Amino acid sequence: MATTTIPLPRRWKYGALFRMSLQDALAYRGSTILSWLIESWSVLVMLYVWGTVFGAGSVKIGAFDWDAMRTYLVIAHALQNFTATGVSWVLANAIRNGDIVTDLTRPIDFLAAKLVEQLGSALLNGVIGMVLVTILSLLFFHLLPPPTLEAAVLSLLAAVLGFLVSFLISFMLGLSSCWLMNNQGLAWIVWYGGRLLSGTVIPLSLFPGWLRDVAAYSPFQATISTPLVIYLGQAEGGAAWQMVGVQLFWLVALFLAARWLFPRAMRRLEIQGG
Amino acid sequence: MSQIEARALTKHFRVPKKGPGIKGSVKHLFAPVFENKIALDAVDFDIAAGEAVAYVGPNGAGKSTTVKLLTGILAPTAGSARINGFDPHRQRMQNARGIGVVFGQRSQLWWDLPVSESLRLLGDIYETPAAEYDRALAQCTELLDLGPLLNQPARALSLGQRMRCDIAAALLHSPRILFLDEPTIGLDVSVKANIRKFVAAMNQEQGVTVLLTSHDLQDIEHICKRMILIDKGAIVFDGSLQSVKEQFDRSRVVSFKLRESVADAGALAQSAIAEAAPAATVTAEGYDLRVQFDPAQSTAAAIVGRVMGALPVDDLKIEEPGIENIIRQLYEGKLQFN
Repeated sequence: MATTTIPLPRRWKYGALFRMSLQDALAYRGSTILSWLIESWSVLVMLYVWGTVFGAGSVKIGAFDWDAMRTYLVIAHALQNFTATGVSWVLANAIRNGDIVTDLTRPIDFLAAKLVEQLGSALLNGVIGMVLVTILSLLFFHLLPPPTLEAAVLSLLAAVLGFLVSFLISFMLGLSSCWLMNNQGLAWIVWYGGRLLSGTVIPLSLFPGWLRDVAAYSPFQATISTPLVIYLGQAEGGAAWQMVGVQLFWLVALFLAARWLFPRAMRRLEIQGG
Repeated sequence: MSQIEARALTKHFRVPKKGPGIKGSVKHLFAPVFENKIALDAVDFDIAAGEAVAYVGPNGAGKSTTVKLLTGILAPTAGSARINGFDPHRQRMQNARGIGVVFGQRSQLWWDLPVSESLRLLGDIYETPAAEYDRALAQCTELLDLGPLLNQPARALSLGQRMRCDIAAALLHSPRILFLDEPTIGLDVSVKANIRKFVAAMNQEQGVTVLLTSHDLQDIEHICKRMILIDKGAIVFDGSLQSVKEQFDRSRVVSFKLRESVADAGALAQSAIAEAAPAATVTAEGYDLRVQFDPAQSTAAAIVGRVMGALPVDDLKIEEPGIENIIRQLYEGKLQFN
């Protein structure tokens, strides 16, 4: 086996991990597309319910007419798929069964490594989502396009920031299993609370005043609601930029919180035996 | 300065104390009670560069916990550790560059990737210079016979194949210290021998420091010169393997097979060696005769010569003091340490 080969060049470690996660995601592209289609039934149900509410006429609820609402619901579902990461589940498992030891013996930043490991499937989900939504829109739903180029670009940026915010929440949720023997309960609370407060189910502007206030001060609205409100042109110019500013605030705050939490979680880590 | 040092290294775990059954679980839900379990209790040791140390003890003695503290995975409850001058937990990333770690029960290969891809990814993560990586890979491929395995995904490998790849994975960044936690667990004899030979060569030829935990005494005898015995979280012995043998096994046995049954073989042998080994004990049964003696007082040669002069010996065997016996006695609680 004494073959002389030119050494393969070294790659940037986080870049290499990202490539691997993308390869992994591509290997499972079939099941990803399938799960998109299967999960779509919940959107169809919502569309049916809201369609009945709006009726055939030109009913308007808050800032929404039926066209805007249809667009909101379909894209909210796509954004939900894009921003939701499995990282909380991945971490909880690794902490429980001790597989986290292989991450910890490597000279790699844990938070950054977990992020790039999720980026592959996020990218694939994002692309699949955009393609599927466009096709379905042309064929059946006739969704509204963003009113301006600025709204299009800014909502795309907001979606990426939303992904990062969602990732950090999920990351810290995963770390919570260093304190809780079973973080499933907390995970469900965050999942359902997040679905509501992010505006996935109902646009935040249709909430009663007090709940809207709660949502406004939660990080969840930065994940789904912000990119959608900008996409629909319900916030434009300065107001839109301000919403992106709030996203950035949450991103920095949650990043610092995660950085603060990680060493504390690791000090609690208990892996006995094996 | 020693390469690895542990100073009063201590780790406590909080173990939930639940009553039995549903009642206990419900009670624990409302008023959780935790028990403090001392996994490691103020352990001190120093390991110099190039040493090969066996870290031995019964299940639950604290071996794995020590490895996890030294590799930075766990934080000590009290005391400290230094690896290459780094605090392994606080300076986890710097420490990780200089060490290689193999946990026999886990794999660090990516399940779906071909082994070669996993190894290359590790090269990227450790930022190993390409030429150095290639040299290390070529060496591991040859010595661990990885050639046919590199193109297969990790999930398709047998346990022995996977372990060989995992050992290579831990060494491609040329660490100066190699931690092996039960590296041969569940492997067949030939794979074990291959791994032992490889690790011993890395230690002796390249000066890689080895800390090995194992229940396999052959691993220990082949690879290590020094042994640290640990029991219930505390070190009970730290010294050379040779001195363990001397300290705990002061008796050696010569067993003879006689050509014919001799009526009072025991008494004859006893009187023949009375001068050379007065304290020896002789047991005879049928064709078999066993002489147990203290190697500090007499030699096997003296005993063999005298017994052969007195009795018709067909065959004989000198039994080496086995580290196995010593550790078994420790495990069973029969040995007392001074």
